Amino acid sequence: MKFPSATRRRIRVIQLFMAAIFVVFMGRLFGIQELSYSAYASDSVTQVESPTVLPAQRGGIYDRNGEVLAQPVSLAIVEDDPKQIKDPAREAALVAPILHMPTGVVERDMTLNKTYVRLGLRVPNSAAARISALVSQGKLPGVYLQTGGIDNNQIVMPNGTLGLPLLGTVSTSGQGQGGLEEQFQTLLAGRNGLSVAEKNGNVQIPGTPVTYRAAVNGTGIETTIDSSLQSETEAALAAGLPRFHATSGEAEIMDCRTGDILAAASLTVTSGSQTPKTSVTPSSPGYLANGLSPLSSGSINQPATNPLPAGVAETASNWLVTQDYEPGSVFKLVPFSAALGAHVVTPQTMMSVPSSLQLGTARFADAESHGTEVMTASQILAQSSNLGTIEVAQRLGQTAPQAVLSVEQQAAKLGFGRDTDLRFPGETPGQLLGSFNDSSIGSLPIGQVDSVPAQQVLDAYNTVCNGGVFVEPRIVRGFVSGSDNRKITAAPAARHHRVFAPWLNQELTQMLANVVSTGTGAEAGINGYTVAGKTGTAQIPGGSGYVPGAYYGTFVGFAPAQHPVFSAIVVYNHPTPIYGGATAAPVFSQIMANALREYNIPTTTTVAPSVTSTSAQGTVAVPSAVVESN
Amino acid sequence: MSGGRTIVGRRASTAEGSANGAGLRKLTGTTMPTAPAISVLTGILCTVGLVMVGSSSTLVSVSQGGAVWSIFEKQVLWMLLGAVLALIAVRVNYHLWQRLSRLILLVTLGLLVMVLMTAPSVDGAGRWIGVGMLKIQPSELMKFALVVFVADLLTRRADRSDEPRMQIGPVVLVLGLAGLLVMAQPDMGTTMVLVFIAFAVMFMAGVKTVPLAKTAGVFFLLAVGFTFSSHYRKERFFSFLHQSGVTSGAGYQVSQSKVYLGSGHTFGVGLLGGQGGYTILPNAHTDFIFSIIGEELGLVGALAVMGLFFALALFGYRAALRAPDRFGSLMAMGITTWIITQAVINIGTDIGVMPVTGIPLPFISYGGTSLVVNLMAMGILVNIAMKGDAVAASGQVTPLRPSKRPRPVTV
Repeated sequence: MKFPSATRRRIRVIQLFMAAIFVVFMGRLFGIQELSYSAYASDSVTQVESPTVLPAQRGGIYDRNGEVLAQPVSLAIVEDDPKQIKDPAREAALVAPILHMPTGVVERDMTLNKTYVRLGLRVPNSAAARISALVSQGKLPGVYLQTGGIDNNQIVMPNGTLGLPLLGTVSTSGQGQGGLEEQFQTLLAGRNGLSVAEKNGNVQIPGTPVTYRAAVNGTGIETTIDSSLQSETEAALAAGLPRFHATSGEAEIMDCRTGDILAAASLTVTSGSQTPKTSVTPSSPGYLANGLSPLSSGSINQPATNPLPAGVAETASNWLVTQDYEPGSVFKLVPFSAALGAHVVTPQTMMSVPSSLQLGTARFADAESHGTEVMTASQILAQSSNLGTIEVAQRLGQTAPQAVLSVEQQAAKLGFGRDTDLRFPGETPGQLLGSFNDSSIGSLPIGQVDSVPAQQVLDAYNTVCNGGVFVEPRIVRGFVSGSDNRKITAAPAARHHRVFAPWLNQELTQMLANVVSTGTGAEAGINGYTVAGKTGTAQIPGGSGYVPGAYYGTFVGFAPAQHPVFSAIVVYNHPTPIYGGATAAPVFSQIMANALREYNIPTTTTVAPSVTSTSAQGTVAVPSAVVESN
Repeated sequence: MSGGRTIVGRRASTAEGSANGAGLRKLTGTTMPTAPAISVLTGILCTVGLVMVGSSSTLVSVSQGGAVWSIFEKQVLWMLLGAVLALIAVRVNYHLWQRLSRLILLVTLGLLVMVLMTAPSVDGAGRWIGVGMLKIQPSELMKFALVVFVADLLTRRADRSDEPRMQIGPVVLVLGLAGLLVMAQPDMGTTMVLVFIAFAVMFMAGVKTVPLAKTAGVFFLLAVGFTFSSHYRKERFFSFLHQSGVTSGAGYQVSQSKVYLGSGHTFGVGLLGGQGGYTILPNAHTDFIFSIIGEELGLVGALAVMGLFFALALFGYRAALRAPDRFGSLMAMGITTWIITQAVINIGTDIGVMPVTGIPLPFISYGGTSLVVNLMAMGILVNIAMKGDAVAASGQVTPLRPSKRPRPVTV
């Protein structure tokens, strides 16, 4: 058929119109499939691949007897299938109060057009048991309980905040924060498993490739802590805080031979009766409807009652290793042991002690003013005479710099100024003498130069306690793994090295015992035992000099002096009275007495029994700390 | 007839030394027979469709409780039925449809009324009638009925071009009636296709431009008014303009569609390897099958499918120009416009440049009635094309592009 050219033209118009549309479409396709390819491609994968994390169970932290210090909460998941629920209102009314959820919300979750609704994601065992009972009675058709879940992000500490600075906490994302939880994060956390399946909505697509990696549960840690000693130590330290009006305090007790830390407390005063900010804070029930992020909920487990008095709380970190201070007179062990070892003094060496001494720009005096006195070296230590100690130190070198160097060398031998083997999170090595000046030979020996953590002070005195052998402190005793936590691998023993010859150590022990029997440390004494130790009353630096009236009171020592078993240290910050001998010493006495009593250390025998431990896990038999004295 | 073949041979030989030139001319020129081309193109599209329905529907089949290939198998049956009807249509003289024009129209309108009265609501739209495998979608039939009606009307009133009212009026009447019935389902997409087919055919048939444009304007205003009269329709209509961040509804479908298109890149992820076939992309095997083509066959595959439709348009309109009579010509225009309009709207939706209207991609999307009716229409088109090819071969060539001067012969 012949067409008028107009028709042909009009067909051409339509054709051109369509051609134009196709060209536009081609451009658009090119844009989507070539230019934006990578963005869309990744979208596509994340939409369909549905990774399910198979959570590894976090390891617990145990004390030396296998008692739980911290472990993850076991939880159940409550789900419902709305299609099987005939009477949502009735079932919601039953379930809602147990889950602490509004009835309306539960009812809504029971009527959604889905086959799988999560009602409660982290239901504690008690609530799960109640729901389980209702389910078994047939009262909750369509409600299901998945048990055996572990919430790694909620750590339950059966003893409340006991040992919190040592243990640390676990963040809502399962990350250990501070303490052992942080230090051994990788070990404790284990490795989450992963299941990646292509999913169609909620249903795994049959036959699609699946990546499956089983979870590796975390390894638990058995610490050297003795939870009953820990509790007593915290209580004794805490009681002293209000008594001495101190702002904070630290206390630690150690097994001389092994370096095992039996108890370590770090407490601070909180203003008024506020909830201590570092304690495990209980929060409202964190049930989540419909399986939202499992990480967004707070703890639902109430910690056990905080044994600490009101206004006292655990510090955020373990200040025994994370905070350094100028220890004051307790540092005098360093110059004295150096001088005795160098044979420049003996305990009986008589020395003339002036009333004051000008060295460079600094003027030194003793705590109680006196005229020039003649004292033995032993008396100088017992009375904690600064000027006498300076004289002892000056004998260590022909010149002041040489003497200072000797003191610092001795400090280094005793472990000052370097990290311990604890490798604790936030641990500080302390700061040793930076630059020498004319007054250094005065201030260094009396503990006013080197700034060290209390742990290092204890380690130094523990050397004397351990017969002259320096031993690294240790807090991890073993690693707990396997099903039912039955497999326990002992941690390596602490490293040690001899610092004092036996004769020297005997002299030092005697001198330190004199501090308690005749000197400033009288209040550290314990009935029936000989206690050896040293007081320290250290000014707190601030501004260009020292803060007036601000002191650290310290007592560090060990007992029984003849056959030492335990070493311990107590430090109070800003105590009143200021003296370590009046504040830290009596608390030391209490803490040490607790340990001696608990471990049945005889008062009179010459052979001390061993520190026995019976691990609840039963298979670790770490050799006793103290078998016999030197 | 033999003379025509001689012409072909002679033309080819004049361009000797340039085989490509000859081939190209054979394709674009007047000598290429349109019937086989249309048949082959339709066959390719149907094959692509079967493969893609198979590739994209397995999970939907499973999720509906059926066997993996249950949707695919249904589509095969529909395609067999469509092929049988197409073969019959190829054999039947297309003038039969002209005689049946009013009957077809009345029956279809009656079916549309029945849909409104009986059809249950499926996906919010009652579009089906009948039970089981015999469920049909009368709105698909309506497209065919409309094409036949318009072609018949404009054939009979070809000499009334001075009275455009006589040409436009009845079309508007039928369009309005059908439009209302289809709109009530509600199926705005099909209504749009109906309107576009009718006006495109009237335009190409030579209806005077000004009154035609005025009428089109009225329809346009009606559509705008209708769209804006409902918040839902407005949202749905404009959802293609803002797709990012949308996680449900029509905007979500389009943003998902683009994700799967995009992840196909140049060569695609391979058949059955696509992820859009999961229910994450709703209606993957029906309205959004082009996205699956793009994902599994890549840009190359998507452009190839577009090219197939474009080629089909070229040959369809050429068949219209060659048709032995006005009715055949208008029928060819109508059928071609119908197929291409649907393809354009469907692809435009999938690539996010047109509103979501739920129009299937001809020959490719899963859907019984649509496929059968489309195939039958193609049979009619091929019948018209065969007659036209015969005329062209007999020498009464109506060149699409009359050659202005003889090509210089290079030796």
